[in-house]
Amino acid sequence: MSKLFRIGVSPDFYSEARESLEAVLAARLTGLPGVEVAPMPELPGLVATPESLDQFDAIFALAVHIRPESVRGVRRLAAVARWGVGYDRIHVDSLTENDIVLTITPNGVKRPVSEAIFAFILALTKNLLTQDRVARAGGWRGDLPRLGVSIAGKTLGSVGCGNIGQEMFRMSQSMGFARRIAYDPFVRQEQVSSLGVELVSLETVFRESDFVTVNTLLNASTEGLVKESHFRLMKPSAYFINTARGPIVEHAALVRALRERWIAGAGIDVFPVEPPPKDDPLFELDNVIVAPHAMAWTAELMRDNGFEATDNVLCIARGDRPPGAVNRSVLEKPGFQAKLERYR
Amino acid sequence: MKIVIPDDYPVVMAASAAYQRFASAHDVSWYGTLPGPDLVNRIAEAEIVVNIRSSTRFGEDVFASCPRLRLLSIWGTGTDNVDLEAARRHGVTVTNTPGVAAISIAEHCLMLTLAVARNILTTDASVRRGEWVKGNMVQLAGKTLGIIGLGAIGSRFARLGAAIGMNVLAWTLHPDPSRGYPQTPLETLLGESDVVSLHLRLSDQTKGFLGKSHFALMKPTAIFINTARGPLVEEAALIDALSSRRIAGAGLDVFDVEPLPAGHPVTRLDNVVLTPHNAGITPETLESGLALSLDNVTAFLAGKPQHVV
Repeated sequence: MSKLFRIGVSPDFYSEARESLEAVLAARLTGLPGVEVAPMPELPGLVATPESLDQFDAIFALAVHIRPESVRGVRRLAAVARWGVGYDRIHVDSLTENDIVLTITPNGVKRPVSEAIFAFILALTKNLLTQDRVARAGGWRGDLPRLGVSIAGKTLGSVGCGNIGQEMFRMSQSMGFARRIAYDPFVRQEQVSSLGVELVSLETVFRESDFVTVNTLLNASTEGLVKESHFRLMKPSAYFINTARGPIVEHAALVRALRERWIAGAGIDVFPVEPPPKDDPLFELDNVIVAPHAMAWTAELMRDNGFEATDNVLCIARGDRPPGAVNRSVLEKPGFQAKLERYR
Repeated sequence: MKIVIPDDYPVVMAASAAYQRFASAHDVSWYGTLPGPDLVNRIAEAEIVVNIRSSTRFGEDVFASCPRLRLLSIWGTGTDNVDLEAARRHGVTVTNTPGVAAISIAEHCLMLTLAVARNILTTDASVRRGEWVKGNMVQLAGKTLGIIGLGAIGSRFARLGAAIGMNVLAWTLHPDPSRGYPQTPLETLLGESDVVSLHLRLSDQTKGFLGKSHFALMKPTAIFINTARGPLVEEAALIDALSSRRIAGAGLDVFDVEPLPAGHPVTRLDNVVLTPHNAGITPETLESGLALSLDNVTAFLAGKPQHVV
C-alpha cells in the first residue's frame, strides 16, 4: 500500500449508530497502518456531493444518497461500502461508470431480519397487542376478542427467496410449518429444494400463504410490486409482513386490506417515506404492528455489518476484489483495476 | 353413568365438535358458569366429572362430599387444582390431556421472548405517537436459552430456540439423557442464560422454586419467561428484579393471582409483556385437548383408562 487509504464515514452514522461505529472501528481499524478513518462532511439532505466523496478511497454508507451528480468527476473513490444490503438510495450505474464498486453485507443482515420476521409473525398470530392491553387493564382471557392461532401446520410464503428469504426458511425448519412457498424469478428450484421451499407464482404466494413475507430488494422492477389485487387474493385469516422496503408495496392498498379486513393483520417495519407522516392511516388500525425500520437493528446486526463492510474495504485497500461486490462488472473495468493496482 | 361438566366458562367445551358427538351418546349435565361454592351441588351425583377451569378446586372436602365420583377428567396438563392424595384415598382416577398444548405454548414462549427482545409493545406505541427512534434491539441468534423443566413444553421450546439459532442449556427435575440435553446445574444455567424459561409442574416441591437468590444469579441482560404457573416464582422477588433492572425484562402468561388484579405492580412495569394465561389456547389445541379430555372418559368407561395422572 503506497499511500494513506482514507475511509470516509457518512454523517448519519454519528446520529444513528455512533456506538456501533466506534466499536467496529476500535476492533478492526484503529491503529491499522496506512489506513485513516474520518467523517465525511455534513451533507444537506444526506445526499453525497463529489467534493465529499473524492477525498476518500472508500466510504462507509448507512443511509446516504448517492445520485448521478454525486459522483460526477469523482476520480479517487474506489468503493462505497454499505452497512446493510439495500442500495435503493444509491445509483449503481453511475458508480460503475465512474469505476467505483458498491459492496453490501448479506451475511450480517440475514439472521436479525429473519428473527424480526418471526417476531412479527408470532406477535400477530398470538394477538399480542390486545393481550397485553387486556391483561394490564384487569381483564382476562374471556375478554379477548379472539384466540391466538398456532403457526404449526400453516403455510409460510415469501416474495423473494434470496439471501434473507432463504435464511428465514432455514430458521423455519423446526417450527412445524406444513408448507413453504416462494416467488423469485432469479432463483432456480434446485437451489431451494433442500430448504423444503416450493417456487410458485407471485399470485400463488398471496393466495395460499398464511403468512406472506416480503424479502426482496427495492429496484425498478419491485417498486409497487405488491398491489391491491394481491391483497384481494389473500385468505382473510392471513398476515402480511414487510421488513424489506416500503415502496415495494402500494401503501393505500395495504391500508385498505387491513381496514376492510380482507386480511387478518400486518407487521410493518418499512414505509413508503421514512419517517412516515404522523397521520399515516396505518397508525389508526388495531390489526397492525408497526416499527421504525429498526426491527432488525440489534447490536449484533450493526457489529456484523460493520465487520463485513470493513472486510470489503480492506480487501480493496490490499488491491483485491471485495467479496460483497454488487456491480461485479466494474471489477473487470481497466479504470477500476488501475485503482486496485495503486493500492497493491 | 352420570357425567357433569361443572365449569365451562368462558364456554369452550360446549362449542367444540368433540362435545357435540359426546353429548349425544352420554348423559351429560353441563354448566356454562363458574361454580364457586356451588361446586358440590353440581357434582354431588356425578360418577364422572370433566373439569375445564383450573380455578375449580377439588380438595378433600369435595371428594368426601361426592362418594359416587370415580373419574375426574381434567382438560389441560396442570393438576395443581386437585388434591391428588385425597383423590387416591377416595378411589377417584384423575386424568389430564398432556402434550396437546405443548406446540402452542412453546410458540407462545418464543413470541414472548421475541416481543421482549424486540421491544414490540413500546416500539409500536412510539411509532404510532409519531416518533421514529431506532433503538438497539436484542438478537436471539447466538445467545443462550436456559430451559428449566424438559417436559413436552420445555422440550418443544428448546427446539424452537435452537431453530432461531440459540444454544440451549437445560435443567430438569428428573434428568433423562434421552431428552437430548445434558443436565446443567441450575446455578450455571441461571448465570449463563440470556433467556430463562420455566416449565415445571406446580407442586408442594416446586412452589416458590425461583426466588431472590436466583434472580441475583441472572445476567442484567436476561429475559425471564413464565408460561407454567405463577406460584413457581416468588412474585415479589420477580417484580423487584424487573423494576430495579436486575434483569432486563420478562414475558409472563401466569401470575400468583389470576385474573391479574387491575393496578397490580406487574401491570405498571414497562419491561414486561403480559398475556392473560392463554399460552396454550389456540383453536387447534383447544379442539384437540377438549377431544382428548372426552376420549379419556370414553377410555375409562371401556375399562382402559388413559393419561392417568
